[in-house]
Amino acid sequence: MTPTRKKRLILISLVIMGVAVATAIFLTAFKDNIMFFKSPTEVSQNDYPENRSFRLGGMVKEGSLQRLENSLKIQFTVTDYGADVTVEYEGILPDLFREGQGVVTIGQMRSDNIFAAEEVLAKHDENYMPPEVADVLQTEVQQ
Amino acid sequence: MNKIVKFYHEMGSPPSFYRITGHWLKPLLILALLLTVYGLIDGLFFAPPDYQQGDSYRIMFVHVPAAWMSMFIYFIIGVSGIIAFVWRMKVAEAVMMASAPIGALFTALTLLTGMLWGKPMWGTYWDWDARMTSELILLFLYIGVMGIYSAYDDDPRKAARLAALVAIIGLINLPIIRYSVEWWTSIHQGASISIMGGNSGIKEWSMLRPLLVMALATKFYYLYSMLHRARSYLLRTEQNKSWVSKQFIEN
Amino acid sequence: MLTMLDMGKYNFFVWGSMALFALMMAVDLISLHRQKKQLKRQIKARQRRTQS
Repeated sequence: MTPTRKKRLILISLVIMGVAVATAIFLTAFKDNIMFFKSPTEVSQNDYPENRSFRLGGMVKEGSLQRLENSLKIQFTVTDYGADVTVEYEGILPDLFREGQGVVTIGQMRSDNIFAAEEVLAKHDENYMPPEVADVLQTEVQQ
Repeated sequence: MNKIVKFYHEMGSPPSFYRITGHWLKPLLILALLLTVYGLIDGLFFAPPDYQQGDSYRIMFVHVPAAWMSMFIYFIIGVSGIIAFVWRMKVAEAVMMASAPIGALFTALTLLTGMLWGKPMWGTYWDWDARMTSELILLFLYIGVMGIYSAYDDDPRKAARLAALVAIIGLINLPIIRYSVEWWTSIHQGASISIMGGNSGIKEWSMLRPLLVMALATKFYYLYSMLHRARSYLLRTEQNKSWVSKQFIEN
Repeated sequence: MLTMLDMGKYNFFVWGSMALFALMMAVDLISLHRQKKQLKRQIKARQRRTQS
């Protein structure tokens, strides 16, 4: 085999491998993230995979965040305004984790109907604004 | 009208493309650098902090323009790929291959700055969600286009045709990236600027200004980098033509 | 001036992003000039060969 041919063969197989890896990544990511993404309503109807970790997404219910006594665990309620699920988590919460804000938790449903999260991700929206503007909007809503 | 047609034909011929764009390089680079310095100073020091994210949202001023460029440049590659494939235009081949390295760089920058933004805000550097996964695939597409080309670089015309084919097929990824946050549940937020008005996105001018300035700066830099590489590409592939040797006698 | 440079607890993330941006642009700028230089040398060498 000539050196050019050899180089060509290596490069083409690299490209094909890259495409294959990309497709594989895409498919597994989709399976995990899209098929196993459940809302509190779906969970309350028992529509979730058992003995397997899945994603639970929704809003953190106002006033639901509490620290469990004698442990580092925290508990909060995730809601989609149709149903609620209690989530238990031990670890550092992201900076944007707030009551009334969107959240994605990854974990498993326990037999006592509490969602044991291994990971908590905060979701934010695209409405960036300075604090003063946010304050004005807030008071407008309250009036 | 005649002038436009004439300009179009001139830009299609390698010697006049080389001559005309030679005058553009310096102004483009100066514009890009000035706008970058202005945009970053404005974004880092004069734009107010965000009510939720504080100072961390300032990553947006490089992340969002880089993300726009990663898609815009791929679109250019796709379009010039079609022109190169159908009409066999040499200048289109040059534009396509000259866009790939800077496009790949912007894509890598988008992914890396996105990770640096995701860690403090979402709580993770990476999440295999639709937006991030499709952007990663965009990086693979750029590498694929360049890889195919260099596999055949002993025959530039053939190499460009094959690379164009990969680029055209990859165009399908662009709407997937754009709409990934709407079609699928994603941790990633929606678009920062809505062209159709709408209620979401940035409304504050002092936050919007550095973003738009940086968007312009990256566009100018892309034009500079792409034209620079396209000119080298034409010199390299047309080495045997008389216009190339003339370039070097004059200098 | 120094207080303006401070991004609080986000220093690493914000300045890291800016550094990456600067690095990528510098890499691109340097690589395209190096390529051009090399190419010009190559073509000139070729011309000398064909002329002599």
